[in-house]
Amino acid sequence: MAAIEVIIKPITSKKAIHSIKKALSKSSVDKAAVEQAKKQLASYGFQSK
Amino acid sequence: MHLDICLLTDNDLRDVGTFDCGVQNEPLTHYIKGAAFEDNRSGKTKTYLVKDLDKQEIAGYFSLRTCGFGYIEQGTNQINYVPAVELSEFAIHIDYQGQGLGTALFLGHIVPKVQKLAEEFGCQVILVYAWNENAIKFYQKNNFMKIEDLGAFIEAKDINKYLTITDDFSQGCNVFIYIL
Ligand SMILES: CC(C)(COP(=O)(O)OP(=O)(O)OC[C@H]1O[C@@H](n2cnc3c(N)ncnc32)[C@H](O)[C@@H]1OP(=O)(O)O)[C@@H](O)C(=O)NCCC(=O)NCCS
Repeated sequence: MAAIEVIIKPITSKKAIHSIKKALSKSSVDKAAVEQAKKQLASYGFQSK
Repeated sequence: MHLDICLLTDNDLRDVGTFDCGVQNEPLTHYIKGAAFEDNRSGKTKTYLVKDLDKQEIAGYFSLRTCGFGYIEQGTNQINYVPAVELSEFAIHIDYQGQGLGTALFLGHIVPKVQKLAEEFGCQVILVYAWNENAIKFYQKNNFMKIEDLGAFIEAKDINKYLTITDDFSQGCNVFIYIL
């Protein structure tokens, strides 16, 4: 909830820079869970357009 | 249960009157009955209602808007900007909580919606501010990571040196991100 926030974080070590980039390249999306959730919504009669 | 998910319109004013997502979440209950309409009109946020067509009531709602955050690489002045979509409000009616609707809505609808947007506009993450234990559990269960876990935050004494726009609501909130 709330706030458009710009968070500027200083990176204190090369390791941290690497870990931010690395962390952002690793998707949180669990495709199977997404498909399952779409099916659940479809069972409620909802079809995404 | 039969559901529909649609963009809020001024015609929904009466239907949102009975929406209630619990005593601890009054700001979210109030938002949908008031400010959401103005924000929707002005383009500040876009709010979607989840309608239970059988009971003719609002089972939940969520609001989206663009945002982002940045970080500075050591030894450079370069800000790396991470474009994001903020899930600025997310609430399930108290009678529908804990039955999987929030998960189905987030994974089955919100994620695909933002992924679609990200095919045309730069967007790497979905960002949320979570201020209560239940919400934190929900986000962690759905693969969100706490933004602090990416790296060190600015120390408070240095905060004015950096561009930080914030407001009262986000104080004390945990910022979570879901990487697309
Ligand atoms: C947080 C919220 C959107 C989750 O939606 P939901 O439909 O209740 O969640 P689901 O049933 O899909 O998922 C359940 C998981 O979420 C968590 N959870 C969060 N709120 C819960 C609630 N009121 N009841 C049960 N579980 C809840 C639990 O970790 C639960 O996992 P478990 O079943 O293994 O214990 C919803 O509970 C809500 O609107 N809460 C009040 C408003 C709020 O906090 N919004 C988030 C603002 S950042």
